[in-house]
Amino acid sequence: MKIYTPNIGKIKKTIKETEDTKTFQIELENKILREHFYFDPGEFVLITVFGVGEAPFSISSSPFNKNYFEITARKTGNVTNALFNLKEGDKIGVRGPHGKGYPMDEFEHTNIILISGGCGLAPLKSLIEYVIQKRGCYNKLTLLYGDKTPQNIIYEKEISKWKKIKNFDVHLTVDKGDKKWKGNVGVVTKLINKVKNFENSVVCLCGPPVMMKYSIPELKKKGIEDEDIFVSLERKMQCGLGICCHCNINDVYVCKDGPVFRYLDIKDLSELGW
Amino acid sequence: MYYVLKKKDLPKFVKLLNKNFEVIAPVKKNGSLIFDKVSSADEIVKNYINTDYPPKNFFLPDGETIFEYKKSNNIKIKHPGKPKKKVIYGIRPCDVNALLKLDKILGGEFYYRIKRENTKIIAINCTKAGENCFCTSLGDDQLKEGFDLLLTDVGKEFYIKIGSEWGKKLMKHKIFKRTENSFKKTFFECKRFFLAKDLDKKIERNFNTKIWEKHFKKCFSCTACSVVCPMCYCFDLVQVPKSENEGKVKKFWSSCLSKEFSRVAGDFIFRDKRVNRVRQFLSHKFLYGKKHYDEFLCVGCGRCISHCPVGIDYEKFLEEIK
Repeated sequence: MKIYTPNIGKIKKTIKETEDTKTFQIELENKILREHFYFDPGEFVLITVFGVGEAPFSISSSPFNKNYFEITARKTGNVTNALFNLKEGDKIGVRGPHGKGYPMDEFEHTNIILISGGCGLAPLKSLIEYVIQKRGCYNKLTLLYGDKTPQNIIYEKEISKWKKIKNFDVHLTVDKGDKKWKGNVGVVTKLINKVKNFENSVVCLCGPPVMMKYSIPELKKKGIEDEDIFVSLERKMQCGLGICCHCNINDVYVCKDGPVFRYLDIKDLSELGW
Repeated sequence: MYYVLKKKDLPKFVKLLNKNFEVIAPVKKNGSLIFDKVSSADEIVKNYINTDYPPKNFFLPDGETIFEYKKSNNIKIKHPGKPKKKVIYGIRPCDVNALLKLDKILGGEFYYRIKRENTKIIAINCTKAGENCFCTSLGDDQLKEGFDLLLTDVGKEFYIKIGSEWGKKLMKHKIFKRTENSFKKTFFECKRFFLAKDLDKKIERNFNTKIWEKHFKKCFSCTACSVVCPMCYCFDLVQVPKSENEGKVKKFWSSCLSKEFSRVAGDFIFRDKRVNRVRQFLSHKFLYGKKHYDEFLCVGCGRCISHCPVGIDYEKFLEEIK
């Protein structure tokens, strides 16, 4: 198979989240591919900006959305910078969805606690929208989200909607507030104390390694077991299929075995780094 | 049952092959013994232990085009055409075994497979080992499959084993004589030896020890061992624009020994220390390879030792690790 050749997608809509972050609504040109674009929250796509490069992005929209999918990109490298300059109607390359996402079936009838730092909210947004659409199957949903400043907060529109949803607690924090900011200030780990009930709960974390490093001991103190913690990891990816060997952590491939891992399965990997 | 080819008929054999194929054979170029296109038998180097470089660039060319794109209102993607039919003459069993192992990893990749399917293999058994060879420790000096023809040098002639239908048909030519005789095999063992059993477990056991520092602190990440390794296949996909609206996506060799290999956005590098990158290089070959493909991703050709500018000896490491 020509596994490194992307399919063509069209940017349907761009949504400016912050100064350096945008969400892109992408529609695959091929109708059959579009209708068979199945994924679990947490999976990723490889996006090509022709002439610049290819990079992996978590899918941030709901899997129930059949006409398009969304990614959220923060300007950090060549590909994201180029992506930022693209307009609605422009064409890009799409490979995937690839990888393993969150085991949504296993989460049924449990409380789900989400801990997210910065752009790590993107794959969790997909999970949140999934849960909202299948609300009856899941118990309480709690989101703890931290970012650098109030200006860095993404998905503001969605967050204000989520706050109104029954049985869905949303807590935000920023490292550094400003005059207008009335919410929490401090690292996201501090928000863990806002959660009242840790029974029958799973926790999904997505953010920088340092966030994982400090959150997990806190969660363990609250009685959460390693098997109920799910982390989404980042490594350099090229092929997205477990061939090119850029993304392995010991014998685990982030692209193929992850990017979402059960903490129990990876906690002893010596190359994990935290 | 074997076929026999007189060595003096080699020019005729190469001519016969050249009718329908590009013939690739060991030749001397810029001071190195490499595999390259030949038009006659005179160009072929006959007396050699192994080539300085493996023939991997005929299956995994560095910088091969994966596709071309053209932007207008739409994006048009074009794939390269079928590769030319080739025959590789004079490849050693270790390098054939490397291809058989690569098949397990890259068999699902169109780009690799189409080259494999369009390349015939005429291998020649070794009759002696080089200074740095250690194929006999891994069993990769023997070929059970993976060849169209397997030649053994018995002095004035070659004894030929048939490995495919194509090879069988070729033997109908009058330069080949069928024989019911057998030949006396030159049995050899490499000077270097280690026990291959449990190498994976040994690497796993030593993963977090100081042994890596001890053996590899000299490494300065030049990646030469990766370049000459017949099994190093890791790669980067790179956009090569020709103009604003057209260009190519190419696949380049990439080595885990380089710092760039694990760099992600925000300048995080996951294997910052050189010895950790050597550990990745060897763990991929002997631990993860065994786990994922049930193979050691090494055939003992010893080129990594010959080409290391600071004298790192991977084989000595494999001898010493417990």
